[in-house]
Amino acid sequence: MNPTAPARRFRLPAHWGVRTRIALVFHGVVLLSLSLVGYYGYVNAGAAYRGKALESIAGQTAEIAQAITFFLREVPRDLRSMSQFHALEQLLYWEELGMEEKTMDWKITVIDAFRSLVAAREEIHELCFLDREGRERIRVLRDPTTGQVQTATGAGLRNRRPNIDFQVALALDRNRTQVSPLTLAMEQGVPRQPLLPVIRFAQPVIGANEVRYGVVMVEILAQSFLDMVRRADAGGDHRYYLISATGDYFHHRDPERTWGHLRGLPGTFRTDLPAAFAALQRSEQGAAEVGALVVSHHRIQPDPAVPEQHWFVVGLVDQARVLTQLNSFGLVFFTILAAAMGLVLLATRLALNGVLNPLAAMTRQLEKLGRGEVTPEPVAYPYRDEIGRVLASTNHLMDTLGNLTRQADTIAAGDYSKRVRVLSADDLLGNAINNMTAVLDKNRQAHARRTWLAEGLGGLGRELAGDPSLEELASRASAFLCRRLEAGHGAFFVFDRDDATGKPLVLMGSYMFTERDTVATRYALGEGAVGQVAREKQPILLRNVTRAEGLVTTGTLSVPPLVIIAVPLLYQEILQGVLELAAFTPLDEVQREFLDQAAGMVAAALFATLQRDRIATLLAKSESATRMTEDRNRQLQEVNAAMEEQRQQLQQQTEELQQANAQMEEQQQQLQQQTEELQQTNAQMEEQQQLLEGQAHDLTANNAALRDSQAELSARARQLEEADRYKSDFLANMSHELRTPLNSIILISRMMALNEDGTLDPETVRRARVVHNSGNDLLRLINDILDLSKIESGRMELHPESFDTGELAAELQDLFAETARERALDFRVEDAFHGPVVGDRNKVVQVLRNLLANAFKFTPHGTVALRCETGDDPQRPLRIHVADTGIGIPPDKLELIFEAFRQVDSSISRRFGGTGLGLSISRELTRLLGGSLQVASQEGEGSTFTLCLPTGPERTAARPAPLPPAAPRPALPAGTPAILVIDDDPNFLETIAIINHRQGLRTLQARSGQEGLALAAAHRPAGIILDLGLPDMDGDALLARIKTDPGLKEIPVFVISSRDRNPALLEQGAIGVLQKPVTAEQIQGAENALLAAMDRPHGAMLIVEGAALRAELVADRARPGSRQVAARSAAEALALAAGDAFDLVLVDHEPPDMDCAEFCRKLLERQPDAKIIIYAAGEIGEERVAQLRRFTDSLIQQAPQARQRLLEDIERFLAATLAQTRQHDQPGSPPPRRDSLLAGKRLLVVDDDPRNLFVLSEALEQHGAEVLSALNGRKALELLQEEPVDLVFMDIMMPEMDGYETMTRIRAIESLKRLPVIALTAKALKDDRHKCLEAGADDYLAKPVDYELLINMARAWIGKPR
Amino acid sequence: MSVAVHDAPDRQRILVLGPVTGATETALLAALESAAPGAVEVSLFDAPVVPTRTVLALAALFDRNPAARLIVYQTTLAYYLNALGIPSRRHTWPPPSATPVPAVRALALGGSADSLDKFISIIERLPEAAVPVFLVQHVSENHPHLLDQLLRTRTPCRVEMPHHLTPVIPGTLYIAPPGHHMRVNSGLLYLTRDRKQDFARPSIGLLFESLAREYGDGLVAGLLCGLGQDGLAALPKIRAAGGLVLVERADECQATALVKQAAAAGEYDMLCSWRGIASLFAAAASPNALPDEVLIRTFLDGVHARYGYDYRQYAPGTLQRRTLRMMDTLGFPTFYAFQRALLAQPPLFERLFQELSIGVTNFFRHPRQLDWLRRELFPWLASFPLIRIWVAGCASGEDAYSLAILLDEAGLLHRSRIFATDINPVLLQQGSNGLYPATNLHAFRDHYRQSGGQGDHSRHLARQGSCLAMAPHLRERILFFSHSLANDGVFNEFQLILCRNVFIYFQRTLQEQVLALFARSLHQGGYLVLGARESLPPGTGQDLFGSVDQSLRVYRRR
Repeated sequence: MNPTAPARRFRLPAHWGVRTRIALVFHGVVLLSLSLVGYYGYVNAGAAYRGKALESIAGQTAEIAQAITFFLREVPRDLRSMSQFHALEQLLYWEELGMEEKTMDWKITVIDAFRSLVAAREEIHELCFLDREGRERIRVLRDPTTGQVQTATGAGLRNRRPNIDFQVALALDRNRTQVSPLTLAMEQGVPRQPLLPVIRFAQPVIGANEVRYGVVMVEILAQSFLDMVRRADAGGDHRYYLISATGDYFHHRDPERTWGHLRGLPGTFRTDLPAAFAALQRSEQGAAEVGALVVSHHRIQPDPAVPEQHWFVVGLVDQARVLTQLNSFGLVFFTILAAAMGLVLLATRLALNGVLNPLAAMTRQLEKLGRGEVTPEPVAYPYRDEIGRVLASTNHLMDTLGNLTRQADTIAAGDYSKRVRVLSADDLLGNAINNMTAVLDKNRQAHARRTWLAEGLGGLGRELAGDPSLEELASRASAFLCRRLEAGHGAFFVFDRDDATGKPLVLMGSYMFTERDTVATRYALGEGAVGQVAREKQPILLRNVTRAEGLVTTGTLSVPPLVIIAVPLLYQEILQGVLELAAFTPLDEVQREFLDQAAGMVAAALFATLQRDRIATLLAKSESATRMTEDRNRQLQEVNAAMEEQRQQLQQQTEELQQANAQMEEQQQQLQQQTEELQQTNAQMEEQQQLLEGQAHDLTANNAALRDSQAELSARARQLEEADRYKSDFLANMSHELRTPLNSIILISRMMALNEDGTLDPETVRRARVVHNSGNDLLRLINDILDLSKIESGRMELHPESFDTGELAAELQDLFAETARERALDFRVEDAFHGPVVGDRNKVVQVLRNLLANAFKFTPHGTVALRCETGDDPQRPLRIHVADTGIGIPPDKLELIFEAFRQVDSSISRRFGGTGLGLSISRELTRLLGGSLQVASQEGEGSTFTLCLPTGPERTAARPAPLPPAAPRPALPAGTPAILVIDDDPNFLETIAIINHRQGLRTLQARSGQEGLALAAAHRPAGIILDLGLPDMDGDALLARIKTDPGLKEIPVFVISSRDRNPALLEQGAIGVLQKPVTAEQIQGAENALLAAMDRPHGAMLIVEGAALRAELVADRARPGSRQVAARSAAEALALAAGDAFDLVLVDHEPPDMDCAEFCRKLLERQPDAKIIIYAAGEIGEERVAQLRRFTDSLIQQAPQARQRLLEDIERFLAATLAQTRQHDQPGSPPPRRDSLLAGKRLLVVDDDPRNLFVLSEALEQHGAEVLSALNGRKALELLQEEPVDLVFMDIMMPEMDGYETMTRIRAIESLKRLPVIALTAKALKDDRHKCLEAGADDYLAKPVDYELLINMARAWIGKPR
Repeated sequence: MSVAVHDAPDRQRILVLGPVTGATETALLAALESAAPGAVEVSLFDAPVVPTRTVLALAALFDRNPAARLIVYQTTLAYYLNALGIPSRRHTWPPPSATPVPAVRALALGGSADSLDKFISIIERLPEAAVPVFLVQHVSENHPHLLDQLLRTRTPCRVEMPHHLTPVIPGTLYIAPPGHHMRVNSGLLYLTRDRKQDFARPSIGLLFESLAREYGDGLVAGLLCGLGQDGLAALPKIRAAGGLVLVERADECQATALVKQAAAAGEYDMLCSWRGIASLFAAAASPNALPDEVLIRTFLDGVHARYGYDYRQYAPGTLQRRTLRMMDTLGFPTFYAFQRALLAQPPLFERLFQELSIGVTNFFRHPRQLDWLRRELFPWLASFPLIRIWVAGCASGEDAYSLAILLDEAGLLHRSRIFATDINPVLLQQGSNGLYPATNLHAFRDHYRQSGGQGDHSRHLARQGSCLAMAPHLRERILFFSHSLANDGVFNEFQLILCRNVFIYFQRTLQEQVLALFARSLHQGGYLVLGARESLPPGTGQDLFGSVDQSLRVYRRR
């Protein structure tokens, strides 16, 4: 280091002692570290205290905010379930259609759902549905004090159109929610007391066609989540607030300040703590120190879509409170620090003094030694510790140093031979120097010898270097070695491994070697010294050789050598050759060693040379071999390629074989299982067979007896029926025949009685009046008889209409006012019922007229009164009394008066006149009307007739009020026909049971399809009344099950369901369809039809002959008992059909005078229920088939088995029609509903399934649509390009061009791009259906097509703006 | 355009991606037409089948140019073309099992709101497990937790609500007790009452994280629906450790927040229905590597939920054998590995789908039956102006063509329509192609005679190279449509339904369902013909149909 360079490192002043330095450093370090630790601890503790406060506040605010957010997110979900509630949609849908009953039904469901939601969620205050005008349609609210759920009605429903939430929500998209600000429930503009914080959520209700029906709005009591804040805020230093985005308090610890903004109080969070409020604005959540406060906040987003509307949960704590603890901690800490410092100072001072004093003394002594003074200075240090020992060693060191210096000088002066004096056995230094001298001497000699050896071997290596040939190697090696070893002779033999002569050692090189006859150039192993060496692989040394032959010849003389040495040349212990040397001096140790090593080197070189030679030979050989192989390979490759191809083929075949095998096994196993199962089944079958045979035997016997009695019975029944019919016919004819002459008699006698021209004398006039009166009496009698017989034969028809009882009463008052006046009787009419009634008004008037006429007739003086009132029989709520103060009826005659041609007293008829039929007709009519007629009378005081009538479906059947528990009905005798009702509505079941009981029928009730099937199989009812919407299976399917079950298919089925009338049901075999609500009469009618279906007489058949169809075809084989009428032309057939009813009409495809389709249409106009079979001689085209298919599914073309099929179809149709009585025959059944939902629309149905085509067209036409049809895609495309169409129904699986392709092509035509197309698909997988949409369909319908869905979908797509 | 032509120096290469239809086919035909005379190589990567014109064009290419090469990647197509005498080389994609699936060592299932039912259903489907199963349900701390009692009656496994420091035993179900976090470390269960994690205690996340550490790639974890976000953070850790994460699909849940976030974060291996989770769990827990019938049933549930195909009513034996065969072919060592791949890779399912539809058929199969139809039924059919026949399960269409030939000879074909349907679109396309190997000609001729064919069969087919092409007059009367007997409904009205060798693969209930479908599809008195070794199931079948000739399997609608 440059001494002039200034010291860079800090140094203490040099004159300071150790004591000063140690004290200074020690004290400095201790003081500094203690201060650092203290300061750091203090700062950290402060941060920890603040952090803890922050964390606890932040955790709490986050938890509250999460809980509130979670709470708020739940509400829209509930709301969504309401706004998209199926029933609500249904309610609105039906309401729009104006279907009030349906609307009411669904409304009840919706209200139930609203109520249950409000009941389930305590925080809901109010849930309402507002229509698009803002009127509350449904409002369910919870009383905040009692917690009871109420449904508001009437005045409770407000108009909330101005409500901003309503207006916003109405405009929202589906699934979006409007959230109101958190506010207080208001009453007349001021907060309601006690304060009721609420928040409103509203969602639009959007129908299937994007129609906005209104808004569902829910008002939530915010108390539940405000309580969360309140609980957190309940105590402690921490304060929590819930504030609005503008800083208004939703929650403040001081209740007086909460809701200040709504209560007009000053002070918001923003004004109270502006800095904190500013901090809130910066982030969604976080914690910060604001001034002396620690503030944590968490933003709550009540409506994620409106970020500006938000609240904050804020937590506050004062820092000063947090830090008081910290300050007291600081004070204690620094006091302890100062005390510790004092103690350290004292202890250091004492310790340093004891150690440093003796050290100073020793330093002085060493300083002297440095100056060359070796005189030790005694130091007084009493302790034998480290310092003491250091002082003693210092003295001894000085002594030894002097001795050594002298001894070193001695050795430095002496040579190698001299040895130093060894001081002692331990004098290591002396001994070492002596040994070193000896070793140096020996090393010098050894080095000289090794140099010679190394030079020699190096020379040999150089000599052998390069790639010498064998001879060169031999001569070079022998020459070098001889020269080096100063030998006179050298011979080099190579061991020839492949030798065949037996003498493998060959002389290859020599040195100064003279050939002699006696010395061979080849030796065998063991021959001579050379051979011996080769065999033993050991060198041989011969000394003192004297033989003259071995003379070494020089240019000047020949001398025998002294020694001969033969050395084997071994490479890796393998003999390579032998080297023989002849020398004049014996070899010393170094030379021998040289020879040994040289022999190894030579052997190695020899081996390498030999190897090289051998490799060269082999290379030549292999090159020729390679050439041959290449040729062969080329041939082989060709063969391989061929094989490869074969193998690939084989592999493929194997794979296929494997696959085939697997399949075979699959099948094999299947077969085995089946065989096993079959065997088992067979065994069981045989057992059953045996059992059955026994039963069958018994049965046959029973059956025979049964058949006999049945035949007898039916013969009787036929006779009776005939007699009855004769009677009716007779009566009808007779009255008709009688009325014609009677008419003349009455007219003429009336003219005579009036005596207008005055030509008759008074006596004749009087007689004429008698004739006239008698004629009138006779006419009335005939009319009555006729009525009675009509009623009895069931031909009296009811024509229900709606009328008002007041109007009825007024009419009757007018009718009899004159009579009352004439007879001076008081006639009082009173209507206390005031209501609409549905029934046959004329019949009711007829009954009342009869009753009143009787009353007037039998009341000489007093009063006749008519009074309508509400009765107590729920089935017949209208009760009409006809009371008089007449002669009365004796009690024993009360029942008699209703019998035909009977009066209380035959004398009465003489006294009062009359036919005596009026009351019996009245009673029959009443029964027909579904009512009852009773009489109460006191002889001499008067009679009261009470007529009770049903008021029609409006009052009772819309939703039958729960019936009183079924009164135990007396059991009906076994054998009475039973009706099975399958319906899941218990009220309906009960209603039918009552009706049946009245009709004398048994009722079987089933609430599910399965139950129905079981009951039907067990009891074989006379008929089934079936509902379509059953809990376990669809009515369609059940009907199909019944109609395909051989045991059940004969049972007629009548469908009564609330679904729309679907003509396909009739196709499926139902005998009639009614739509609910139904009247009791309709039910009775249905049951009559069911009963009639079972025992209607055999069918009548009309055969329209033509080219192919002849009556003889069916004459002999048709159903026995059926009537056949043949017509030679269509016109003739139509004429026949006009008069006579036919169940089945067989038509030739080409009748002589009319088109077949035309004929069918006309025929069905006349006889809508007739079944048709069309028989064709030749082929019928596809289009034509579709056209005819509308009339029948039985198109028979002449073919070998055509006749057989014809007979089959006849049998089938007759069996079916005989089991049916058509809908139209039923009294009171409404005609099929034809409305105009689709009026004026042209719909195209593309389908090649004629059955489907027919059903769809029928259904759509029923709603007023014009339906075009096409049998495949190609035809549809042609049609679409020619004619405008509003909607297309497109089947997928069609010939010529399938639905996918057709739709793709339709979409490719510019004018048809927006045409609505609905695909009809039998596919059920979502993917498959999506394929329809991809191909261009707007929507799809699953096959088989649901009737209602079809119509709804057609309407929806036609109505949709495109 | 999915057809590319490369002119490489040594050969021209035509590469075809995607199915060969429409524009692709046009382009391919053009490319084949203009192919250079030298070495041409055609590669069909995705097409499982090709239409007629392409087949013929390929055949023509080989005729014209024997040096051409055809490389096909789909097995079905390779078999088809080879059978038709078009030499193709089949390349296969690297087998999907290439990545080995680590052995399962633990299962974990977590669920929050609305997941209890699925939870129980999944556990119900577990076989006797060979690994421990850990379960967490978010439950209230204040109510007794009955999940263990609920599960005990539903599973053969041991169910335990463990204590602190319980050792983990394989085959046991561990349910996290309410109010405690459950963790696993070094084979011991730890229960703690630390603060709530994501508002939950027990926490799904904490358990999953500890299991990820404990079992690494041996963990299979399922996350069911719920609210909040407990467990989300653990999913990446499970995956990082090599474990498998299954997350339930949100579309089948009520409470979707949890699974939606998991799906959005992308930290899952599979999004599947709970049925899929149940299936994978069952296979993963099973001590057997190969499926038994119960596992297959669960698996079919999963397949139905994932792919929409419902095989649950197929005969279980067939399904089991087919599945085993496919596992064997593709080298899946365990059913679990197989399912894992199958539920994740639609092409593999496509493979299974092909494997499951057995399309063995040939011309004039069951000749006696056909002969009967020709003699007895055709005269009856002749009385219909339009004859509609449904060949249900037509496979590659041989039955339909056989019928068409017989109808043609009876003079009825021109007013007949044969609807040939099958579930397998590849076979349908083959049928619609109307090309069959010429090697079949001999058998065809024999069966044709046995079926009563008297005409000249060569009228109906033309030899085109190594193929037999069905004549156009047959092809235009046959409509090939895809239709699943198990799922799809009535689509037309028929006089005759031929459904041969289909019922054998169905279970009884499905057989009855299909018979009802047939009954509704048949004209009054229409006929149903079944395969030679099939018969009507007793009960519904015999209510709907009466036997006409039992030995020939001919039935008539009652």
